[in-house]
Amino acid sequence: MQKTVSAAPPLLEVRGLQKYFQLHLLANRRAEPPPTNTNPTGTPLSDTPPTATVPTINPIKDVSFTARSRNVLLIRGRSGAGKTTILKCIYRTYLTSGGEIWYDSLNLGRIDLSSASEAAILQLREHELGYCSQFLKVLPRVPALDVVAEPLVRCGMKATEARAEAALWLARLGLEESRWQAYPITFSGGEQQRLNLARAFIASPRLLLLDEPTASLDPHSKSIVLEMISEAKARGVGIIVVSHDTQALESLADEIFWLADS
Amino acid sequence: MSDNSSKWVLRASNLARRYGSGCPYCTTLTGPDHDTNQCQVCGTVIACSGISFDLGEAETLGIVGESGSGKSTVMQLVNLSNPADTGELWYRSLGTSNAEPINLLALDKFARRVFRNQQLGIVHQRPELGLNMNFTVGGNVAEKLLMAGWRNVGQIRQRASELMQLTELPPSRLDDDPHTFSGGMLQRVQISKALSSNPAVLLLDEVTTGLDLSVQARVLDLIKRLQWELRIAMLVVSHDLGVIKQLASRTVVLKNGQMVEHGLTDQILEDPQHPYTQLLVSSTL
Ligand SMILES: Nc1ncnc2c1ncn2[C@@H]1O[C@H](COP(=O)(O)OP(=O)(O)O)[C@@H](O)[C@H]1O
Ligand SMILES: [Mg+2]
Ligand SMILES: [Zn+2]
Repeated sequence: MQKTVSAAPPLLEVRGLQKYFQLHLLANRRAEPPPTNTNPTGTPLSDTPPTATVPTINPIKDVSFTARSRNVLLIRGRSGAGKTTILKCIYRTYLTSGGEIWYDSLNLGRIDLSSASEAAILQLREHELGYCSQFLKVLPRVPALDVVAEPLVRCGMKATEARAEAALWLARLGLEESRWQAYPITFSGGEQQRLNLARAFIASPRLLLLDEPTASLDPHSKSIVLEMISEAKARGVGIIVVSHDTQALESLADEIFWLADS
Repeated sequence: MSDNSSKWVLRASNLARRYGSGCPYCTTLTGPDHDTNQCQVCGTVIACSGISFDLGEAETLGIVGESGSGKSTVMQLVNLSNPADTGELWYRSLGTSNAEPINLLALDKFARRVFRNQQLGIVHQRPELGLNMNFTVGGNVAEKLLMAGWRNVGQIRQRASELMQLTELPPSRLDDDPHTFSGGMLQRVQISKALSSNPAVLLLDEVTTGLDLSVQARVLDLIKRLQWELRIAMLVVSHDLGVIKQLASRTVVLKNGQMVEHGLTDQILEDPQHPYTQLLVSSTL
């Protein structure tokens, strides 16, 4: 425990984040570097490294922001500006190309998520980080109720108890009971989104990453999600929400971070 | 990939296995950059080299790569059924607190066999490799239990029928000939045998390869259920990223006997770094 009386470090501190993707394959063919231009004496005309010729996408060039506990940080920006990329870097679904992502962990202390070990990230995902993806990403042949219950089972809860809790979240989000035993792959966009949300909220993470959480919801479901966000915030959770439709979320946001187009 | 704070059961460090006499050029002429595992100078095959990973408590680690990339060799080295030329394989018992890790490769032949029978279970792609096809189903389970030191026939039969239930096989078929079983059922028999001694680590080598898709799905579902119920550490080898995606939290990518990339499975799938991994992913999804 720290003995300093100064303010605790922020829950998350992103410093100079960069992310680029190198596409080694284009249309399923290996991208070969073009032959190097040489002048008559045989020395290369430019000294760019050969990797520079691999096609590269660079959505995030230099991004810094801070997120706090008991706070909602809204990241705004045009579609394609890199909002999802930032969340995926924090969750380590993407590897970071440059910069640091300092997270103040309850169990592991201050830790840079961009360079932490795979085992540490798995542990944090299990106990501290929640992520609600914009799209459905679930295993085949797992009923909706079990998809939502899974994070609790992972933390050691008995399956029957976990399912009971999952049922509460699905009911609250208005997912019809007849759908609970169905496979989510057959769900509508709005149903899938509510499933993702239930799964992200259920394990009560310390840092919650929400990607367009209201994008495909009807007004009623939307208001429930907003309620869930403010409850989580009141419990002390730090929340980072990414959205381009911000009317609903702006009222909840403590801070807004504008992501400029790159 | 190593992290001292994490709870690993098994730690492979720089494992290598080659077939051939070797020459000074072997290492510089083989591997992913040369797109071959065979030395052009002396003909030696470097089946795998520089293999390092941790396998965590109750974790499933995937090893993916095309045919010939060295996956089965790595499995055999870990199963202590094929001797490594170099490297270490550390095992840490998590049951007893503060147990010192032991290097399994430094054990003598007898101790290695005891360890394999008690703490390891392996399931092969081809049932003939994992089962004695002349024994009944129960006889196959009994064989492993006898080698693990079990002596009481009643207990052995009891355990065998428990395992049949666990793997969703009709216990009434305990005394049947394996030749009368379907491919999917034989994989369940192999899994029963592998799990019989309550091993610390389960090794699965292409267990669903070659099965019909619907049968494959049911075997995968069984394995997922075992992950939850037994919380056993698993090493899963497959050429199919789709299988790895369903089972493994972390993944190692092998090419020409070497690791080209490792990471969390979702990262390997969504942000593959190595050209070969990008090719694998683009041919899967
Ligand atoms: N006993 C052996 N003798 C010679 N070469 C072998 C032997 N076993 C495997 N190899 C070679 O080692 C390489 C890796 O094989 P293997 O581990 O079976 O690959 P995978 O399981 O990924 O298909 C291959 O080139 C294979 O031909
Ligand atoms: Mg093989
Ligand atoms: Zn050689």
